[in-house]
This record gives sequence, C-alpha cells and structure tokens, in this order.
Amino acid sequence: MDLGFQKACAELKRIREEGVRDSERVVDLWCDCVSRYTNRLGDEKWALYEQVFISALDCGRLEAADACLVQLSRQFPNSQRIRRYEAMRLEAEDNLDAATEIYKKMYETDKLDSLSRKRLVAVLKARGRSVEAIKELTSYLKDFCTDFEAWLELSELYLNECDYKKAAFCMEELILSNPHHHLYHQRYAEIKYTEGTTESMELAKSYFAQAVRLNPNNMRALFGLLLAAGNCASSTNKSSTSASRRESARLAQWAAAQVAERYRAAGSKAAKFTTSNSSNSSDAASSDVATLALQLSLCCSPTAAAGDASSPSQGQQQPASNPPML
Amino acid sequence: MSQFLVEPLAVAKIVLHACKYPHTAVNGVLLAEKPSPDSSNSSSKPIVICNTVPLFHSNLNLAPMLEAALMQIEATYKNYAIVGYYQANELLNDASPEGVGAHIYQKIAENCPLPRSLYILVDNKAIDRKCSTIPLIYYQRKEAGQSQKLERLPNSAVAIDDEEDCLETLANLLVRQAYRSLVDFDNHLDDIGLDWTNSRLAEQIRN
Repeated sequence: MDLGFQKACAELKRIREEGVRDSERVVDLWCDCVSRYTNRLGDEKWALYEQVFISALDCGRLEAADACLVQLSRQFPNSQRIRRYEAMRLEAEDNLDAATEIYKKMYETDKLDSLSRKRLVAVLKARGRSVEAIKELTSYLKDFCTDFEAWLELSELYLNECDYKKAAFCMEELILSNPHHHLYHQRYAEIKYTEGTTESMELAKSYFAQAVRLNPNNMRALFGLLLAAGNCASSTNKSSTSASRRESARLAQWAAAQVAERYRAAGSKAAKFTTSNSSNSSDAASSDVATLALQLSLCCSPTAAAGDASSPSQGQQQPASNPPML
Repeated sequence: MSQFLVEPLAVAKIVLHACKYPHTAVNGVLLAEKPSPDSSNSSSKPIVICNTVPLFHSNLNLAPMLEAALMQIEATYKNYAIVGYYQANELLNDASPEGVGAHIYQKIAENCPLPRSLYILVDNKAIDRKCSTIPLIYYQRKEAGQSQKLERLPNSAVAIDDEEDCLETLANLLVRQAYRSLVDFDNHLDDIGLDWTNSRLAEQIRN
C-alpha cells in the first residue's frame, strides 16, 4: 500500500461519505498510511477513529479496534455512543449475552435510543433467531416508522423466511415514503415476480417499468421488465386479453432492445481500452447477450398463443427512449 | 472411484467469492463440459467440475435475476452444462444446506444433462489464510424415492485435482487479496462492463 497520507485520508473520507462497506481496505489504509500520523489530523480524527473501529470489528482486526476505542473513550468519557461501541466489541468476540445486557440497559434508560434497539435485532440475527429478530424489528418499527434502513432490513428478514407477502409489504411502505427511488420499485417488482402468480407477474411488470422510467440505466429493472413482460405476453390465463398480451410483447421487445443497446455500448467501450484478446471476448459476450435478449423478446409474440391474425409489426418500430405507456 | 473431480479453478473461485463478501451469503453454479453424443458408459467416470460462475451476494431468494443469469450462462458457455450449485451461508455457524439454496439446486439437478449433480456448501469455519484443508462440504440429492432430501457425500466421493498445489495457490490468492478482482453477476448488473466470466482471474489462477 503505497498511498501517501493525504490520498489515504481522502479515500477513507470517500468511503465514509458513500457508506460503502469495504472494511478490509479501511483497516489496511489506516494501518499502513494514517495511524502513525494522527497528530496531522484535525477534528476529523474522531470520525476516522469511529470508522476504523467499526471496520476493524467487521474484519476481525481486534487489536486495531481496541487502539481506536481507547482513544475514543479518553476523548469522550461517559458517552452512550462509546458504551454502545464497547457492546459491539463484545459482539465481535462472540460474547453475545454480555452485549445484549448492555443494549437492554441502555434501552431501559432511554426509550428513544433507536440504535441500541437495532443492535438487539442484529444480535438476534447473529444467533440465527430470525423469527425473534423479525418480532423485535416489527415492534421497533411501530415506534420509529420512518426508519427506511429498518424497513429494508425487515424486508430482507422476511425474504429469508420466504414470506414474500410481508416482504412486499415492507417495500410498499418504502415506496410510499420515497416514490421516486428506483431501487425500491425494482426490489418490489422482484419480490412480486418471485411470488409467481399471474396477478403478481402483472404487478412486477408495472413496477419494473416504473423503475426503468425513474432510472433508464437500471439493468436489473430492464432484465426484469424483459422477463416479466415476456411471461405476461405468453400467459395462458383466462384473465389476460389478446390486447394486453400484445402490449406485453411490445414492452418485452422494447426492453430487449434497451438491454442489447447497453451491452453493445459496453462492449465497444471495453474494446477501446483493452487488449485485442479480451475485446474479442467482451464483444462476443455483448453480442451474445444482445442476440439472446432479442430472441427472448421474439418468443413473447402473442400470435402463437392467441392464434390472432394481426401480426406484431408494431414491434419493428425504432425503440423510443421511454417505455411505451402501460 | 470418486463421483466428481473438482479442478483448482472452481475451488478457487468458490472460496474467493465467499471471502469477497464475508458478511453475506453468496452463491453460484458449477460447470462441467457437456458430454459428447457418442460417449458411452459415462456414468462410471467422475464428472469434472472445471469452472464456476459466481452469481449473487444479496437477495439470493429472488427469481428474476437468477433466471437472467442462468440464461446468459447457457448462452455464453455453449459447450458446458450447469451441473451443480454452491453456496456460502451468511452466519459463521450455519452449516445447513437447506432453504433457498436447496430449491435452486433441485431445479438445477432436474435439468442437468449429466447423470449426477453436486451441491457444494462452503464450510465457513474452515476458511483460513493458511489453507490447510479444502473448506468445502458436499451434498447431493437422493435419487431414490420422492423425498428429494439432500444427502451429505463423504469427502472421498469428491476429489480435488492436484489438491496440494490447489491449496498453495489458494493461500497465495488470499494473501494477495485476489478476491477484490472477482466479479459476480451482481457486480456485473451494477456495471455491465465488468466481466462475470472472470477470464483474467482464470488466467492468473492457471499460471
């Protein structure tokens, strides 16, 4: 690790601000470039100690974590935050009973201490007690219903239990609070797709389309739209009309063209900057995917399913930059 | 005679994938060469698992991206078949192959063109930098009966090609933090310029 002190601090600051989980890198940067020169840091020092402490716990580098905790405890004696860090240190040693005791006492002293309550959920999760973790988190959300991070975590806990309806409910709460966040629409659509019923597939198609509208570069939403619209187009369910199947087929073809376009762009970008061998493979890979996407969308033609006389010649239009109106 | 022979590239990619995301579950599929149409009595020879494709490190139980990934894999690796599945569980002490992973594996096993399929579970506790043992546990679905439960295979059923060399290579890769350059399908969906076939990493491992 040959980064200078300034560059290392800048990198650590970027990781801190973006909220990226790259604990090993943080601890390596700290140990190799920064820890010997803490006198050069201003007040940023304390935020850095916190960041390194948590990252060190995350990758089991307990000696580095202890060094940071000592500095923080000296600077901020009798601090609830430091007490919580001491409990997290116990968690890292797998001393979950002692950690739980501390979190419970902190919560009893201050009913508004949301972070200790969330750590209790984390401890339950670490013990593998998912059902109790869900119960604890649900009761937390009754008191702190705008905590988006908690709703997302609850959705994941429900997914681990394969309770798709409740996981979807959590995403609905998030979409209601953040209707312009493309990732929430995309995740909701993925859950609906996984449920697998005809109605949920239609919903998945709509939400994938909305995610694409909010962020046209969301590849998961594009792939999801292609697959969901394809499933809707070839649905043999009585409730789907031939008009709706044609519409779904058009949507699938549009999504396929978008996917193909992005892979072609990525392939040609890779070709400019790499050696000839890998550019051949990335070109081949991107053209494979482009072909695959178009083949998939052509399979979604409703004429085969419905025996309809009118051919889907509208599908030959140039793809617009927005998805067709649903 | 072992039922499977796993090549070092496959072992390395599985362990590197688990090491890249130690805080979440990861999964992927196992690849073997498709048998040629005229090969006879292939069920007695060990199936050679020559490569893997690392798939996801988040939301392993959502279907659409899994379907998209499997279609891309089949389109890209035309001479190879998906013969199995691997998973590393989220919790250190969780050594259970059941759950979503088992469902995905059953689907793979049903569609596998080869006579047998394999489920590899990473033994989280056995991963260490010294690489003294191969940290993998093997399962297979019972062919007989309707139960389709997973049955643990003895280590003798799965051989590692050139095991000592494989362990040494693995140790070197972990020291060099080679897992940082591994690309799984989730990474690819975040940035489609990233190569989910990991061809550069494969060259490094083979040399």
